[in-house]
Formats: sequence, structure tokens, C-alpha cells
Amino acid sequence: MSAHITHEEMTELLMGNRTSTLDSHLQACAECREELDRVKSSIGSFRTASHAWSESVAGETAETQPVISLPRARSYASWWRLAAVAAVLLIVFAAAYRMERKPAIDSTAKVTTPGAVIVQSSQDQIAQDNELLAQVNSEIAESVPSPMQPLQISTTSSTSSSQSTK
Amino acid sequence: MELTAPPAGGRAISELEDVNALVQQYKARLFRFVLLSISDRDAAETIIQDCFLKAHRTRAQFRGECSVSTWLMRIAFNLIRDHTKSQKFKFWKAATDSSIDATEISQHLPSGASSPEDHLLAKERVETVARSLKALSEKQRSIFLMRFVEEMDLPEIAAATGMPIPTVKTHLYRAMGAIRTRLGGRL
Repeated sequence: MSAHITHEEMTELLMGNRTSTLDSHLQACAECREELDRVKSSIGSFRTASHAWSESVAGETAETQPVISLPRARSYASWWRLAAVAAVLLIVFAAAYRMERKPAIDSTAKVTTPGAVIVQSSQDQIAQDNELLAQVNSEIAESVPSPMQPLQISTTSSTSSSQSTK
Repeated sequence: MELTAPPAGGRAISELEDVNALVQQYKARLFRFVLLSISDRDAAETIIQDCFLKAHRTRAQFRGECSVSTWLMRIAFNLIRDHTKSQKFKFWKAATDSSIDATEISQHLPSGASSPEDHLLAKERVETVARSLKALSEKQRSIFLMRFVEEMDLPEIAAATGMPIPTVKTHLYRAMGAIRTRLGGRL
């Protein structure tokens, strides 16, 4: 019997590359046959187990992981839609800005106007106050309670008579 | 007037357009390959997502010279290589034992018609193979997984890894040598 098959030949056999020489050797050599069977069954069992294991793990992760979603290339239609939305938003914002700015302009007008109103009203108030003051002064100076009116007249007349006698 | 044949990769290229169908068809296989390669579920999920995104974005570059499956495996292989080269991966590998949980894999081995003793022996051998993967280099592990788990032939592996077939064979021989030694074989 020839020498045992080499490691390279054993690997070729494991990959299914059989030759008549190797087959005849395997028929004659129980040791090589046993070795080949052991390695072959070990790798076969590993393949079977790893397939079942990976399917189990993939099943577990598929429940928790989201489906792969790819970024889609935008079509022309979607770009037009996007532009239309942008234009609408621009118009809305411009209108909102204008609405917000208009009361501001009015309020600034009111800010300047009350100043003038205040100035004007203060002048009126001064004039009214002066008028009132003058009225009060005149009343203080001229008015005499009605019960005192005759006395004042008599007093005035006596005074004038005494002066005339002098 | 001569009729011209449609491009060989026409069907494959159209296959790349429907990303949901692509995920449905190839996710399990890619996930298994990546998970066994890096032993990290979260990172495997991220790499799979990146793999499908990259495949979709670069679908115009796919010329149909190989199957979609092989092309996806190539993208996954490159992403795994980038991941294992990253400092983050090296840090966590050094800080924690991130090897594949061999027991977890062996528990999924169906008992079938084998006796309890035979099933126990088979589970032990599965664990031995799973632990052996840790001792392999990144390339040896990837090529072993492609050949013996994903059952790709050598030209497909060469296309997926970008290596010539003799180099693929060399890596495969070394990987098998390490695994046979752990299984108690003679070299």
C-alpha cells in the first residue's frame, strides 16, 4: 500500500475533488478513510448547526431591526412639489410679516401723534387753567356774598362821602 | 440583420434594482457569513446594512461578470476587512473575548436519527470547529466559511476575495490544517 494521502489531497477530497488514485487508496486504507469521514462529518455538522443558528439569530434581529430603507432619488415631479410648497410657505411668511409690520407702523404713528396731542392738550389745559384762575381771581376780587352786598354798598358810599367832606 | 444577445448580466443588474427582494434573498447567507467572521451581532447587522446600501449605490458598476451573490459576498468581505482593521475592533477584541459562542452554535445541531452518544459527539466536533475558527487568520477564516459553510466553488471565492485561485487554495489548506489538528487528525 502506498503512503497515506497528503493534507492537500485530503482537502481536495473534502472539496469533492476525487481522483481514481485517491479512491483506490481510500478503499485500501482504513485510517485515511476514517480520517476523511471524521473531518467531513465534523464540517458537515458545523455547516448544519451554523445555518440553523444564524437563521435563529436573524429571526431574533428581524423582529427588532427595521427593514432597510434606501434614500430615494427625487424625481422632477417631487422637486416641483417641493418648490410649490416652498413658494406657498414664502407667501405665508411674507403675509404674516406684513401683517405684523403694519400695526408696528401704526403704533409708531401713534407714538409720534400722542406727543403732539400731549403738547397740544397741555397748552389747552394751561389755557383752561389760566382762564379758570382768572375767573377765580375775578370772583375773589369782585364777588361778595349776597348778604354782604348792602353793607359793601353802604361802606362804599360812606367812604366816598367822607372823602368828599374832606 | 444579426440579432445581438442581451448582456449576460442584464437579469442580475435588474435584480439589484429591487433592494427589498435582494435583502429577502441574500440576507440570511450574508448575515451568517459576517456573523461567523466577526462574532459580533450588532456589528454584523451594521455591516449587512452597509453591504446592501453599498450594493444598491454601486449597482451601476456591476457588470454581471459574477453572480449577485458573489458580488455581495465580495462587498461583505471588504467591509469585514475594514471593520477588523479598525482601532475600535482591535480594542474590543483585546478587551473582551469576542470569539464565537461555540456552545450556542452546537445547540442548533439537529439530533436527527442519531443516537444520543453520536449526537453528543457531533456537538463536540461542532464546538471544536467553531473554536478552531478563532485560531485562523481573517483570510483563512473567510475562505473556509465561503467554501465549507456557504459552499462556494473556488472561482467564486477568488472573485469574492479578489485573490487568484492558487492563493485561495493555499489559505484553504492552512485553514484545514489548523482545523484537522484540533479535531485530532494527523497531518
